[in-house]
Amino acid sequence: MQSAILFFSISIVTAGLTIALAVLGASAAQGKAASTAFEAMARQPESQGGISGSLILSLALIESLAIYALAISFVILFANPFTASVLNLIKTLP
Amino acid sequence: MDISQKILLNLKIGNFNVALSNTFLASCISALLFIIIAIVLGMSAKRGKPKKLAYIAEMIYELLNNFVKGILGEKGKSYAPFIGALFGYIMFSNLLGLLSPLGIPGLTAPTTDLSVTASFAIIGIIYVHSISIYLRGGLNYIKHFFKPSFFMFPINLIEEIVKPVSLTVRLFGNLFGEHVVYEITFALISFGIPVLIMALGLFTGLIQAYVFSMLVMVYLSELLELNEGGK
Repeated sequence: MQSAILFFSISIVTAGLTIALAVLGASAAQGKAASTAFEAMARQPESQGGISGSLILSLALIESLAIYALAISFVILFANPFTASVLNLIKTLP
Repeated sequence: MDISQKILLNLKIGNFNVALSNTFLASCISALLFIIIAIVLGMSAKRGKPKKLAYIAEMIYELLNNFVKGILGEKGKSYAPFIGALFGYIMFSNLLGLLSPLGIPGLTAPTTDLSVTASFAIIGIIYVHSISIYLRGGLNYIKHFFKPSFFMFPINLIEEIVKPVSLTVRLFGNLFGEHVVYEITFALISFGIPVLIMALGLFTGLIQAYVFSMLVMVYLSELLELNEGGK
């Protein structure tokens, strides 16, 4: 029983920590990308259209790395492949 | 509040158990909506007797052509219909997700289902590879795996396999995350505040459709090697 509680609490903490760390890295990178893009737009205002398009694309690509971590976090929380075996184990042990 | 996949109908065809889900019905509804709008817009621009809707149809045509020509060059106009279809289908599917709190069986975002996003990615990648084989020949296609150096073959192969996986997970993750936040917000406060989440969902849906089709075009331009004087 103890080990089942340990398993579930560790998996919940891991799921939360996964997405938190991923968002930390992704937001830092997106902030740097956006700041450089704004600087370039201010330096040359007629290139705004091209830079905006590229900026949106690169923001979405950087965000997708955080989305991979979110997908893993969802798998840990909602479709955990080990819950079945853990529940089987606690049935056999006292 | 239930975010699991709801199965509407369980068929048994021969030896196969087919389960038609909520998202399958939603993808059919979104495709039908897109087809109807596209036919109405197209028929309004009849030669000789165009209606007023032809302004909007021509504007959409110009936008799509500029979008495709920006990455694929002048000869890229022939790929514009497929890219437009992909963009429109994904955009309508994402926007259907804004109606999900109503609880009506067919009105959710089909892209919250991993199978639907995987099929979009597989279709896009099959399109890109088959065009590159058709235009540049099978031998050139196999040789491009060995291009920078002979030992780059595993890395190129892994890159080609990761492309559809990344397209799938990006679209699925963005929309499923948005769906979960939306359902949670509606469960807490049903009036007023969800409008902000709806606006975020609208924005995210459009951006993800744009990024998906832009990435398919970038992969196409890579495989056709347009900037190296290929066809």
